[in-house]
Amino acid sequence: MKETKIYDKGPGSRKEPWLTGNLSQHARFYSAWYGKKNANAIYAPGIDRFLLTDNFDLWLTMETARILSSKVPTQVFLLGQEVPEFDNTNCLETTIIDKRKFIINGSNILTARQVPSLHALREPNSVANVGIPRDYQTGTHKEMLHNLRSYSLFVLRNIHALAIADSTKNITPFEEMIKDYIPEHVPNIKLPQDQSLAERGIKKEIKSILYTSLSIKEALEKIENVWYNYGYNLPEFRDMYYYFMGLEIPMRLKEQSVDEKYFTPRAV
Amino acid sequence: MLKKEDTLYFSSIIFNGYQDNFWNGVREEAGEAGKFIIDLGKRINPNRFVTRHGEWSLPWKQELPPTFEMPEYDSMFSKSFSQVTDERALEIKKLINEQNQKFAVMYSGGIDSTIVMCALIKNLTKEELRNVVVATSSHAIVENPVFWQKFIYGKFEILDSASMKYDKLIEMGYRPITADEGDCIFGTALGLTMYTNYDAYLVDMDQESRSRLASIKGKITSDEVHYSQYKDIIVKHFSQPHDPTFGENFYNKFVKNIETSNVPIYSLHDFFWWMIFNIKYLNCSIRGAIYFNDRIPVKTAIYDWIINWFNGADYQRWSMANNNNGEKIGYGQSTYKMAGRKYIYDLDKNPWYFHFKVKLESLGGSIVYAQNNTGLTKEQHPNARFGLDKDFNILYIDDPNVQDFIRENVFKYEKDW
Repeated sequence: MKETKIYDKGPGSRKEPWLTGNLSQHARFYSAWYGKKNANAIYAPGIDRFLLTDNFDLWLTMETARILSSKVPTQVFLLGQEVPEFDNTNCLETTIIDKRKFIINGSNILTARQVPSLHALREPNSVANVGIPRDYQTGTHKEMLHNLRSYSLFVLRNIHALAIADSTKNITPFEEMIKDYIPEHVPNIKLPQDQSLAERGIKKEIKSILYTSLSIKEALEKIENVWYNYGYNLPEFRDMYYYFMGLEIPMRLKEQSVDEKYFTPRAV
Repeated sequence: MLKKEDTLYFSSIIFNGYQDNFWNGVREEAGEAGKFIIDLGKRINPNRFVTRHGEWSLPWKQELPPTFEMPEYDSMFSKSFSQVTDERALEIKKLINEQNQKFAVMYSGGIDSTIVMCALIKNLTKEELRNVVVATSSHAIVENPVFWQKFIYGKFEILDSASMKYDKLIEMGYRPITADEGDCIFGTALGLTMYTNYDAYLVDMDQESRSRLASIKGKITSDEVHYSQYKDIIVKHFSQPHDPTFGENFYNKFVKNIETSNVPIYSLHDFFWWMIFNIKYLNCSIRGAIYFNDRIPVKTAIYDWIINWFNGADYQRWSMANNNNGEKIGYGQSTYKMAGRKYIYDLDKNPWYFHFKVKLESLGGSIVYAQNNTGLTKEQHPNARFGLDKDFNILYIDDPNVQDFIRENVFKYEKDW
């Protein structure tokens, strides 16, 4: 695969666009965001620090935490106004001072679960910057902490990009609707997740890739393959996904042609 | 008929909803030591502490069932964790080839049961692995999805541990392999929760204590700092809201145990490791046979069927000879069980699991989820089980004879630490 070029060249842009925070396209998309302080955060009990913070949709933070749980146990915190501010530049140095009161089903959050539950953090002295975790200051642990940060923000950006693109461009999200809302009356006919050729729909394919990939490079290659093999009939959906990822559309996807005999821009 | 002076093989003081009223009632009439031993049940929940070495009194007479004694400490023990683990797998290989035995690995996705799976995959042939099935639940899949995809799904027959207790597996002809003693080899989660809340314990201490404890925060596995220097924080960690003396009382009782054994205990992590390697070991070894089994006699289950993977003499010798060298823990949760992480990484090459896996309470979660008590009376329910007599009979908390035994012994129990 050719190296993916970076789309976002705006102020603060670095090599990886998901590290650019709220200067990116997806942040501007959420028009109700007025530059308020961080609202949601993912805490990793294993390293006893926050993995990331986000200003936008709590439930997308929750889904991000679920996906990241294949790599590291996660918990999601809704941050009250009183909580001292921290962001994605220093969250890996920031911890919750007293974890003892956060209990899930009788167990402390430190050892309770691999997958996230939601908690609220409201006290003014509840977090503190205590530096990079001691176990992760040198060697491969240091390197993996950097990878974890990148991968976490990469997944978060993916979840935003998918949610925005899917909500905007997917006009047949029927399988889940029918199975969830009228489960006793599901017909034996094709129920689409979207209009792509992917059996489970593009969104689920990409989420599965994010859950199982061991690196950003591996994930990006697989995601490109999904679009190439199953999403070439949905160029607008695809382009919007890459736009909100902050990535240039890979050349071989751009060069794909759609046989208009089989695919029309209309759903029906 | 249990008599007051009888000896037990196992006992459990637990607050699980079913037994709370009984234990609270006994506590009301108990003396200082009796109250303490019941409160320990509340704080640790359950209190199933039994010493294998050094002094640790209980209200009743207690002996260790055979095969769970601690081996002699050998400072020269030189086998690596990998070597011990490979040799353990070769024992299973032999049982397959010589006796055609079948095995069900109780797989949770955690480090201990993943070590078992890795050892078998590394050391057994494909043909031999046909005698191995994996008993697991959905918890395990999400705890280690990469291992599930690469090494288990489609390669092993899967049995649903959510609907199969040990008795069912045994009736199907499988010897359950459990990694339940993994924590005993590496140290206890009680320590992990203290290390991670270290700063919170300092908040309301005086300035001198705070400074002193802050300066040794990074030395929990250092043989330069004796565990007693952490006494203030340990006492707080074990304190009970209703009894300010409890934490110190527990500390003193456990220190007496340490000082009457001949195994070197020095660092803070040694302190917590010894807690599970010594006084909690028996619980980890036989709780499955008692609580996760309704039909097979406990003695038969323990000695003829269930294989405790880590209950080998070499694992225990390795554990005693590898303190404070980074093999058990670095500083926190993500380096806990480092020797096990290395062993797994050697096969699965998953850097995420190696660097970020955290010890979870897999067993509790799985078993609570799994309890199927069809056919049992309320009084036989696992939540109603108190202990084992020396004939391996299960003792039930609703049995008036058992209740008398507990009351008489708790009421006369005196503080000896």
